Amino acid sequence: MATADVKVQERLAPAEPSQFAVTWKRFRRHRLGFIGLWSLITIVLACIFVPIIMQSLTGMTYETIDNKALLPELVNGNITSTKPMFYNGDLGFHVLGTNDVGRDVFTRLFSAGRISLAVGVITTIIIILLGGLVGALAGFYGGWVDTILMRFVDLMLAIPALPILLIASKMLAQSQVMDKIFGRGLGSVVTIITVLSIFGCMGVSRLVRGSILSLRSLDFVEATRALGANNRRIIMKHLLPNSFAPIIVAATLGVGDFIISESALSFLGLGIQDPIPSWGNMLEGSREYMQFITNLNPFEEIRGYLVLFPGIMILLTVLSINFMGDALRDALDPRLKM
Amino acid sequence: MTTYIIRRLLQGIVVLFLSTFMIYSILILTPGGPKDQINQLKQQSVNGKPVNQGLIDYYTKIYGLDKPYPLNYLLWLFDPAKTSETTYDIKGNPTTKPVGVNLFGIRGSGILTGDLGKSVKIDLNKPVVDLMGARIGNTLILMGLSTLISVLIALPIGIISAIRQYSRLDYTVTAFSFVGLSMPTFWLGLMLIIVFAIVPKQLYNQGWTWLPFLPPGETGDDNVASRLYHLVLPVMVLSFVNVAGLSRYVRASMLEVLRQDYVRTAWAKGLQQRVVILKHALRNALIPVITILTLTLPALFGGAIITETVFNYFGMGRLYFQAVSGLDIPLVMGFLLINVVLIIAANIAADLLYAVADPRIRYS
Repeated sequence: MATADVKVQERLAPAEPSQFAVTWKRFRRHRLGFIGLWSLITIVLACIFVPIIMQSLTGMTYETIDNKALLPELVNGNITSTKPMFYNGDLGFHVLGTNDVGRDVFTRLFSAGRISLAVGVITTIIIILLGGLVGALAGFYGGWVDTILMRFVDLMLAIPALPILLIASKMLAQSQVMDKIFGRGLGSVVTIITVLSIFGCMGVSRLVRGSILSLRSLDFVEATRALGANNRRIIMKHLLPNSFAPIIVAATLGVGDFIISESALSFLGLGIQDPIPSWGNMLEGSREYMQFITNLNPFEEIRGYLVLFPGIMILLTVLSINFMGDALRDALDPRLKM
Repeated sequence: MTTYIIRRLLQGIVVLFLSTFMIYSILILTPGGPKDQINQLKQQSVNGKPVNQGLIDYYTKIYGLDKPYPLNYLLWLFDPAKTSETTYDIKGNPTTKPVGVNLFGIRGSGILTGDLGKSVKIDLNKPVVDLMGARIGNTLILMGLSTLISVLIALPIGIISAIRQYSRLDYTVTAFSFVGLSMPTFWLGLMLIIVFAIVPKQLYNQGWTWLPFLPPGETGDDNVASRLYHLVLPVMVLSFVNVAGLSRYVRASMLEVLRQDYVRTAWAKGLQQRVVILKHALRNALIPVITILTLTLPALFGGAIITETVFNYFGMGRLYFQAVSGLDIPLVMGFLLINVVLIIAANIAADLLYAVADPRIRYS
């Protein structure tokens, strides 16, 4: 008898779509954001699979050196050991040629994508965990905890970020602290992730604090407390999940921001070091080849495309992320009701 | 209102001390800083005497590295013991001269008296203030020109884009501003150099003369025309990125104002579009824009580090990058201090300007 009643109830009340389904539907309406999502997926898949394919087809990785390609040649009055597009070397067919140390540019381009994306994502995860924790504690407990934490955050926000990033990266790289623990290439990646996350935490913590402050005085929190929930349960199970929306948007846009910061630091020589490729790294190495533009023949003399491709990859990736983040922000906006 | 100003100024001073303490801590405590440099120098010794004793002494004295940690911040600010300065020339001969203030019996020197130290790598023993002073004019010109141009372009674009929302122009401007926000500025600089400086030069050698040739960076000549000629490319890069961000902001602000009731009243009264937009909407929309622009004031002095490095421009940004590359801590410290002072001043100024511009805001 009870089951029949329950079934009747279910048929009378229409099923409510989950929050994820609602958000996805609203997200799809933004054409630019939708295009951004798919292009980002394409780029991520390419960065994951192209190095694997290249390694299994031809054995080229981002650090294998093609000895035939190391032979210097005369191009427009300059001697260089880079090779142009479609060059056939010892290791195989180089789609985009080789750089001055003899490594294949095409494989490096997508391996660099792996590294840049990984740095962006890992840094974002770290700042969300740390910044979320700090913001939740400050917003929930209030009082002097809030004052101290937020004064510290304000202080860090008052300090110019980029100059301190530069000097901190340089000092850490010089001291080789990370290199001794992690090895030379990985050490530079850990250095840059550390340095970037310290400044990224501040914005997220303010965001989370504001969100928690506005949710804290609502009735459902009072009800949960009356039912006997302790502080930790209230924060983790009720307050934080309801403040996911701005965190998700900040996280998405943050990945793009960190990719650009990491590229800028690597371009200046303070980020990821050789042989580990990064898009900024490749741009730095190709700066001297900008002037190799004669006859405009990329299969013989131009090396200017070495500057073109890493930058285009950065631009496309960050652009897709920004489109996606903007569409997400509109889709998650609680003010617009379906 | 006056009490508010005084309170903000006092708070600003406290924040100033705290943030300089934070910067000092970061620079001294991070591994790889002056302490590690001194240890490295001490290891490079010949016959038991270190090679570069002058540098070791200088670093120890200026940052008080032989004193306990929180205390040497205060000594770095003002040290009553530092009344004279000994510099060693290339043969090791010392020259001593008095330095610092001597007011009402208080002697000493430190940051508070304006002694920002001497460079140790870029230009040995040259005061940091001199090095920065030689370059600040160039940076002001570059940043001032690009800010002016970007405001002149972004304001009309943002306003028109807001008035004609959802039109083709609006979509174009939005897409363009996204591209500008996602663009790595150093890459844009390199591409512009290729398009406007390298390709025309190559083609000129083959007889083409109509592409404009715009050399990047800084010139040796001092006349205005040559300066402007060399400034075009850096200013283009900076303006592109600034226009992208600013136009979006202007558009958002304008959209919010256009939804207000008083604008609707103005339309209903039958006023001309130009009067409604320029006289009623624009003034209110510009208020947050003014505060944003005030907050970009520190960048006028700090320079665009990456852009100046790409274009090899003789300015503060590139000086800072050279200081970082050479780990020239006094120069880095001087740059950061000036930057922090300007940021705090700009924040206070933006708040006050907001109160002045918007009569609805009155701080009690």
